[in-house]
Amino acid sequence: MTRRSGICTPEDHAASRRQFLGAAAASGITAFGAQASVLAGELKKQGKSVIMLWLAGGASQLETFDPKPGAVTGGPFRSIQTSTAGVRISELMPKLAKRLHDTCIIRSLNTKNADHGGGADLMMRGRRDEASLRFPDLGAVLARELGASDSKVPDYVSFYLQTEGRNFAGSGFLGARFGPMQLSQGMTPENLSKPDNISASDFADRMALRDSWSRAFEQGRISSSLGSHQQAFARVGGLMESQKLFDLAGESAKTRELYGPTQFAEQVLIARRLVEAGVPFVRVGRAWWDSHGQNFETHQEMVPELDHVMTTLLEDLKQRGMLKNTLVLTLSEFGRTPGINSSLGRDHFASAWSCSLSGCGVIGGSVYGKTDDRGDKVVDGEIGAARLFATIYKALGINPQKNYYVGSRPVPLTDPGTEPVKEVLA
Amino acid sequence: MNKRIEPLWFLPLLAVFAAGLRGADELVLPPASMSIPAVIDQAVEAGWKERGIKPASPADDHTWLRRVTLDLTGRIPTVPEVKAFTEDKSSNRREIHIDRLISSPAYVRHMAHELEWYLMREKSNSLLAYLNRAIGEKRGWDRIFRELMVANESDAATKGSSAYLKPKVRDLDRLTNDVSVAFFGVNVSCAQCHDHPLVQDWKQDHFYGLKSFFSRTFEVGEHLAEKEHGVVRFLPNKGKEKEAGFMFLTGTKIAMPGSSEATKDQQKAEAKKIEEWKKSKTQPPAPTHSARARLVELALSANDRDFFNKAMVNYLWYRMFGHGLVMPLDQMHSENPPSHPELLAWLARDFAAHQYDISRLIRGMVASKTYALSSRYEGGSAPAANEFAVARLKPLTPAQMGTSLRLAGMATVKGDLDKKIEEAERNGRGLADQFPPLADDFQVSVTEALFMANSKRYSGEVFPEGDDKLLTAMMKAATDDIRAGLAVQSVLSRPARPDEMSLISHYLKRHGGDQKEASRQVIWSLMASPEFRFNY
Repeated sequence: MTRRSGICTPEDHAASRRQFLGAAAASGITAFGAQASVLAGELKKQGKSVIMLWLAGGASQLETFDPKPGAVTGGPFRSIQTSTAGVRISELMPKLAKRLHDTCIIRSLNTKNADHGGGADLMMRGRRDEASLRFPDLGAVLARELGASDSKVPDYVSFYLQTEGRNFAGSGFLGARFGPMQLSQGMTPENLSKPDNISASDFADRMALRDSWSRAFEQGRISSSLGSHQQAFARVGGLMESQKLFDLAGESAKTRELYGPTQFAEQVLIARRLVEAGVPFVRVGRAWWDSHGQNFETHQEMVPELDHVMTTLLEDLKQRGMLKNTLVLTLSEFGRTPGINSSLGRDHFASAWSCSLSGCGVIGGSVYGKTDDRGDKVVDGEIGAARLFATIYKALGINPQKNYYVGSRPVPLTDPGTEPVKEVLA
Repeated sequence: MNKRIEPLWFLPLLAVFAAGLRGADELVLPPASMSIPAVIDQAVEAGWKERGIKPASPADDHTWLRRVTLDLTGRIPTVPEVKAFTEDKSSNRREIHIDRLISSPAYVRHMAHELEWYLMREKSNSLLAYLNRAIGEKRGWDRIFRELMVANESDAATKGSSAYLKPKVRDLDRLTNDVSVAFFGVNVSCAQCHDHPLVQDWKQDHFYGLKSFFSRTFEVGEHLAEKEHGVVRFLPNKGKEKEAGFMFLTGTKIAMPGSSEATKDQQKAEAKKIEEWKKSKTQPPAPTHSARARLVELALSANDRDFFNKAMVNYLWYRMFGHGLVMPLDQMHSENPPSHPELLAWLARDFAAHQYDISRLIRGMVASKTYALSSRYEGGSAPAANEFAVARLKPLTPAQMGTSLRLAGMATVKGDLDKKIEEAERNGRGLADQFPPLADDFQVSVTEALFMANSKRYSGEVFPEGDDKLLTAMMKAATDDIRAGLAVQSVLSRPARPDEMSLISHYLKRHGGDQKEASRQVIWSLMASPEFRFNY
C-alpha cells in the first residue's frame, strides 16, 4: 500500500499492513507481540508507576480543587491559600494546601458524559468504546507498557471493596493477560497463598513436574499463546511471594499511624508498598461520593480523609525518593453540579470539573484551566478525557500516539492528533 | 472524535465494493461435484507446492481424536472413547467417528455455545435456547439469519430469537456494525464517520444505508417492534444533512414503503398502536413491510449474497483451523484477499448450494488431511499460519475447559455417555467462569495459573472420588506405572510415553507418604500442562 494524498490520517498510520504482517510472520511472533519490546524496554528500567485514587460516584470540584466561596453555587465552605501564590482550594483540604508544590490541579475538564457508567468507562479509558472495539483502561495499558513479562509482582492491582461503580475497569482488547488483580473481597488478593493441604516442597515439586510437561510440549511448537501459558505459571511463585506486600505488618507502627486507621488509608499504604516493589499501576477505589443529597455533610466527612491520605502518600513517596517516578492521580467519573438541589445535594456534572496529578512528570504547584465565577462552565483551557490521558502518558514518558495493533488495524493510545497539556508537564 | 482523522486501516476496506462480486466469477473453481475435503486438500497442497513448503507430518490417532472431539463436542474424549477408536481397525474409522460426534447431542449444545459467543460476544446465554433448537433441527445458516433478523417471538419455532437484536437495539450504530461483522464479515464502522477518499462506491451512504434497515426497530416493554415509517438522516462529512436510502453493502438499493414522512394522521395512529402494545404486553405484530425482513431477502439474493456466504465459511474455517482464510475475520475485502481465493469461493458456493448446512461444512473441514496435520513442526521454522501446513494451537474456550476438567477426573464412563457428558458440562460451569474468553492473540493470565495452583474451589472440583473416578482408580492400582498410565490416559487422552511413566512413577515413589495426595499432585500437573490447555 503506497501513501496517497488527501487521506485523513496522520503520518504514523501509514505503516504498510503487508510489510508489517510479513515481518511479523518472518520473525515468528504475532503482530501484537512484535510491538511490545520496542519502546517499553527503556521505560520499564526507569520503574515508573501510577497510583490512582478513584473517587467513585463523582467527587465535587467545589468542595475540593475549585471552590467558589461567596458565589450562589459556592456552598458553606471557605477557600484557603495554598503553598502556591494565588492558588486557593477548599478549606476541607488544609494539608494539601500546605504541600501543593508536587501537585498540579486541572480545573477545566469537560468530559460531556454525566452518567455513572458512561462516565466511568470514559475516564478509565480516556475514550469511548467503538461499536466493535473495547479499549483497555489505563491500568491495562500501563501494565503492558511498564510491566515486565517475567515480573515477580502483579502489574495491575485494583482495590475496590465498595460496590459502587466497581465494574467499569477492564483490559479490553488487550485481553486477560493485562487485566487487574482485583481485590473486591478483602485486603489480600485471592489465590496468592499456598493451600494448607500441600507442603511447600510438594508445591514446588508439583510445579517442577508441570514444567517438565511444558518443556516436552513446547518442542517443535512456537506460539505466543503457548509462551504466555508457560510465563503465567513461571510467575506463580514470585506473585505468591508478593503476598507480603499486602500485609501491613511489614510497615512500622509509625508509618501506619501516619496514614491512619481507615480502610482507604490502609489500601493507599499497600499501594505505596506495591509500587515500591515494582507494581506499575495500582488503583484504590473509594466510593460513596455520589452526594445527590447532603452534599456538604458528605464532603465534610470524606474530603478531609482524602486530604490526609493523599498528602501522607505524597510525603511518604517524596521521602523515599519515589515521587519523581510515581504519578499520583485523583480522578472521578465526573464532578458535581454547581447548582445545589433541594436536598442540599449536588448532582452529576461533567461540563466543568477538576482532577489532580502529582509527582512524576508534572509541574508541581501549577493550576491549569479555569471555570467561571459560579463554576458553571470552563472559560479557559478546556480539555476532555483524551487530552488528560495524553498528558498522563506523556508524564510517564510514553508516546500518546504509540500504536497497538488489533489484527492489522493500528490503534493509537489516544485518538490521533490528541495533544498533551504541555503547560503542566515538567 | 474528530471525523477527519480516522486511521488508515480503513483504506483497504473498500475496493471490495468496487470489485463487487467479481471475485468468484473470475476464479476458476474446482468442479462442484468434488468433496469438501478433497477440494481443501487440493487447494492447500497446491500452495505448498508453489511455494516449496514442507508440511508437518500427519497427527497420530490420539491427537486427531482429541482435536476433533474438542472441535465438534467441546470436550476431551473419554477413556472408553479413546479405546474404542484406537481399537477400530476399519479404514474409514475417522469418517465414522466424525459422523458419530456430529450426530451426538453434545455437538448441538457445543455449536449453540460457539454461535452464542460468536453472535453475542458476552456471556449472556440469552440466545442459547433458540440456538439449541435451531441447530438441533439442522436449520441452515440462512434460516438462522432470517429468524434472528425477523425475531418473531409468537412462533414457537423461533421463540428466543429476539435475544439477538434486543440488547443491541438501543445503539443502532453498534447494531448495524455487529450485524455486518457477524453475517457479512465486514466491519463498516469506518464509514460512519466519513466517505472513503479513494473508492467512489463506498460512502457514508453505505453505513447509513445498512442502518436504515434497523432504524424502524425499537423496544416496547420486553418486545421488539417495528414501525411502518421511517428513514435515516445523517450529516455527511461534506455538505448538508441527507437522507439515507435502503442500501446493502453491495450498493444494491431497494425502495421501501413508508420512506416518505408520515402524515400527522399516520403518526397519531402509530402512537395509538404503540400505547396499545405497551398495555397488552404481547409481541407487537410485524409491520406490513418489515425493513429487517427486506434486508434478509436482499443479503441472500443471488447477486448480493457473496458477503453472507463467505463470512460464515471463513469463521468456521477459523474455528477449525485456528486461522481464517481471511484474517482479521471482519476485514473481508479485496485489499485483504484470502490466502486461498479459489478455496474460499468454492466453499462459499458449496455452502449456499447445500442449504447453508453448517454441519456438512464442518464435517468436510475436519475430514480433510489438512485438518489432520500435526501441530508440531520439526526441521526449520514453521511455515506461515496462512499456509495451513502445520496445525495451530487453539486455546480451549471457557466451556471447553470447564467440561474437560470435569471429564479428566474420570477413569472410565459407566452408563450413558451423553448423560455423563451433559453432567460434566453442567458441573464444569463454575470452573468455566474462571477462564477468559477467546481473543485475538490469546494470552494466558497469571490469574488463571494462580487459580489452578492455589484455589480451594479448584482443588475441590477437579479431584473427585468414586468408582469411575481417576483418583480412586489410581489409589486402587497395583503399581506406580499403572497409576502413571491411568493419569495420562484420563487427563491427556493418550497413553503415557515411557519417559512420562518413569517421571510419574518416580514422583509417586518419592512422595509415597501420602499416596492420595501424591496422586492429586500428578493429576494437577497434567491438568496445568499446556497440552491440556490447548487444542493441539
